[in-house]
Amino acid sequence: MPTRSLERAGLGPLSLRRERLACASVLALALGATGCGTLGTHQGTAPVAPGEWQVAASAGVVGLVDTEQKTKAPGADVQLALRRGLATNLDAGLKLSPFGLDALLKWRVLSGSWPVAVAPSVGFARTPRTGLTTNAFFTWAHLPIIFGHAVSDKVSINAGPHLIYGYYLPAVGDPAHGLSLGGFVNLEWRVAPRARLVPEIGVFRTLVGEVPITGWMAYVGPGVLVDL
Amino acid sequence: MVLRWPAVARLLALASVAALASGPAACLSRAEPCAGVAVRPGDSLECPVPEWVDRGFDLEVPAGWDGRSPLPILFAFHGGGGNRRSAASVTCPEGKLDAPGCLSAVAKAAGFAVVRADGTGSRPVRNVRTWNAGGGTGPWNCTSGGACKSGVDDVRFFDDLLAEVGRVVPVDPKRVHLTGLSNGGAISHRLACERPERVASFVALGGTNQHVAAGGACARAVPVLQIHGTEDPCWAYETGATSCLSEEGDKVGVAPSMEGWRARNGCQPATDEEALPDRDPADGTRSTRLRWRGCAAATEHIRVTGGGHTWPSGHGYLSEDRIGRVTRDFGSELIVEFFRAHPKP
Repeated sequence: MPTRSLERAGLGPLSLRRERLACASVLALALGATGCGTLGTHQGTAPVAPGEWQVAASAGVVGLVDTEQKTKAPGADVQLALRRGLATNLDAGLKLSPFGLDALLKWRVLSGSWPVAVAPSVGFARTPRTGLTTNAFFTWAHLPIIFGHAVSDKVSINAGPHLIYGYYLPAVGDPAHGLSLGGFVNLEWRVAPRARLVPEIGVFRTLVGEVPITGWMAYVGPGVLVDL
Repeated sequence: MVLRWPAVARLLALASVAALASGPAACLSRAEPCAGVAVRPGDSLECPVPEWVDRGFDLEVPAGWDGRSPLPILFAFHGGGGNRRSAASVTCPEGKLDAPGCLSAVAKAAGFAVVRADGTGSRPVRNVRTWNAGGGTGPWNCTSGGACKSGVDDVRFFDDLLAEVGRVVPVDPKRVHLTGLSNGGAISHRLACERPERVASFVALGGTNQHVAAGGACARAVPVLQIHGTEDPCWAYETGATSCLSEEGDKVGVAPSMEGWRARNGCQPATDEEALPDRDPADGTRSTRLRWRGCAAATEHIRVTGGGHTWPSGHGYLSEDRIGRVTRDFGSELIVEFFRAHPKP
């Protein structure tokens, strides 16, 4: 990770060009390869209608502050998801992110003007051994709880707590894990009959462990949902 | 061809399912502890250090070993931001791991087993690693970042590493040697200070005794060779805050670091100086070997005039304007020869 406090001189056999490429790669894979998957939820409470499909895409920036190692690092969070409605209150899907894949569920547990949904997901990533990443397997589980409210015909606001568990299994050495709790807020704005913009902001704090870090994570980015 | 949305959706779903199915199948094979493995001459092993998260080591055994005799061990520590792989490549001409001039090849030819371990990975990506070589008090730089700032006990790690190596191959307790560049040199100083009963001798390159400068203890004599470039832009020859990046705090220079070892090793203040042959006049460096007189333990320094933050005859891993020059006047043979000449009594 390109932390300024590290003495890059000992980095090893990286040419400047490769070093720049490596830094760019780090930004791209920052979370997908670090044990917690993507931080953005970019969902409201409504599941996809039964038998229908929805594509979701988002790209955001992430800030990581490791309070134990006293490092700060930027990152990127990119995801592409596909969901299908299974029942009136239930959908399921898959989410791709750099190096990672998640299986998604969303279950609306309360309807009405103050709906509530839970959206558990599990995912994994596999990273190769490079000058930056280890030969390792990451897996994670997310549990956001989404509380929603429509503020107009076109705009809803959604927010809630978000629990993340991450597990890091390197090819060499003991494994590590971590549990983080955070919260998110997003705005679901219908910009076309079948399309919504969903900008989101989230903040997370490690409760125990060290995956992906020990400290704070923040996320902000736009997303788009398209009903097919 | 125009793809309609449902077709795109199906393709995406298929790709996702394929990835989900192949991901676990391509799951990694875990390195089991190497203790108890039947090691043969010429073997190379990748082993975990038990009880340490994400910490492993490479062990290379010389082909000429008889399979029974205790082996002299050379620990080669990576620099700050590196890992056990870069600890190997930085010592190799042009970074080619199969080059005969690599430290590993030279050491094995001289009968040493070579161990390269991983420092603590900087989260979240984890293969940018550091050693807690000391510092972080007063004006002193916390060398070199994460492991020092989070207080990782790399002395205990070394104890566990050495014990684990001893469970894999028989270790000659009189011939345990340390070397490393930059943060790897600094951790060699620290381990020599804190584990003098285990370390026979050490060679530090481009990294000095930050542990003692910042108030750490160092009581006993240990043979030392310090190799340092006078134009090192990352760890300056003189005490100061110069660095490859804007780091906070000073790094101790060569003179006070060597004065500490001179006193501990019972040397007189005077040195004998020997100019090493200028084997590559084009490299822009000249090297002078200084030996302190009357020492109870060898105390030596090679001053590489014009040299940078590099391994002699090793790999210029970044551009010269970033890390300075690589001397070609000597190489890993000189380092290994120092170890051969300085086992424990």
